[in-house]
Amino acid sequence: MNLVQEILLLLLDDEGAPVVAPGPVRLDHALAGAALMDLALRNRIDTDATNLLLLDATPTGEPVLDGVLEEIAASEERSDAKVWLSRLAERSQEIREGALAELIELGILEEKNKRILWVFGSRRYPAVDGRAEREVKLRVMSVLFSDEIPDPRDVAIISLISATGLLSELLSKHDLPRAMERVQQIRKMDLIGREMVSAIQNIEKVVLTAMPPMGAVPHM
Amino acid sequence: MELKLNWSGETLVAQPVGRLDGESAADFERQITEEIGDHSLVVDFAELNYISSAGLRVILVLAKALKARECRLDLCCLSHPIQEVFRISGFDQIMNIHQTRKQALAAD
Repeated sequence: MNLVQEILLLLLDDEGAPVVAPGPVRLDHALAGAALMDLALRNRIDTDATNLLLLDATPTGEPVLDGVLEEIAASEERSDAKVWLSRLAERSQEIREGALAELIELGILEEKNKRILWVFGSRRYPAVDGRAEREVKLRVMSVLFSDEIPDPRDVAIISLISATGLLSELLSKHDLPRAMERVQQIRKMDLIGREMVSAIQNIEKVVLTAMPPMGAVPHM
Repeated sequence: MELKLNWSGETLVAQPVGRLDGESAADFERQITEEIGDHSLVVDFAELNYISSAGLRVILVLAKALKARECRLDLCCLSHPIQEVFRISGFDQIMNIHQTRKQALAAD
């Protein structure tokens, strides 16, 4: 499973309903970040403070990731991870729908038409097989509550869980404060993860600044 | 990237020269993994002038693999720009970093 699929799975409960509603800014950037971090883990791209570089344009065989890889390969200008996050966040709906289709194809989710539901529109995606999701949760817990050195994939998934606000769902009220220092330490370790969190925080800050204080009467 | 490998007693000393990035990280890991067995590792950064995210990841992978075998990883001689990359990424908080190779070997 790739990181886009993993984070979507974590965002849904066994009945296919969203566990948390991260809000469009967080979700868009998390999906963009997941795609880029996965391509980096597969040695298709590399990053530093000023550039995101294509290393290998060979397709991964996973349509969503390959769509992103093709876009990077086709780009004529050099950009950094921040620019790519923002560019991909704009088409996160396409990434999300593609990854959900892949999870259905893999037999992990099934699609059922129901009413309501948040960013997943009017459909539910109940889990056919919850093992994959449970394995990710166990891995995250073992990294957060030990001093073990995380592997790069753990770093990526913890950054994504943190960005989408899933931590408060995964951890109890008692465990959450204990884990925060470790979460902050781990999410610094990946440049794309850092840029993703920073982009979300910057946008949310701008939105908050633009909102009138509670009770204020807007100027007409 | 050129990689100089030497043994100092029971410790393998790896000295990458040039750039540790997506082009060279896999080869860096392969050469060290083939050589190290159940021994500790010192990576001497004195002749490294660039490290990318892929370079940092390979250091993390080696650190995890060595710790699982109860072996040490010690890093030394980081240039200022590389120290800065380690600081921003928090690697300076989880890695054993020394000023000199002598100190790194003594820590083993």
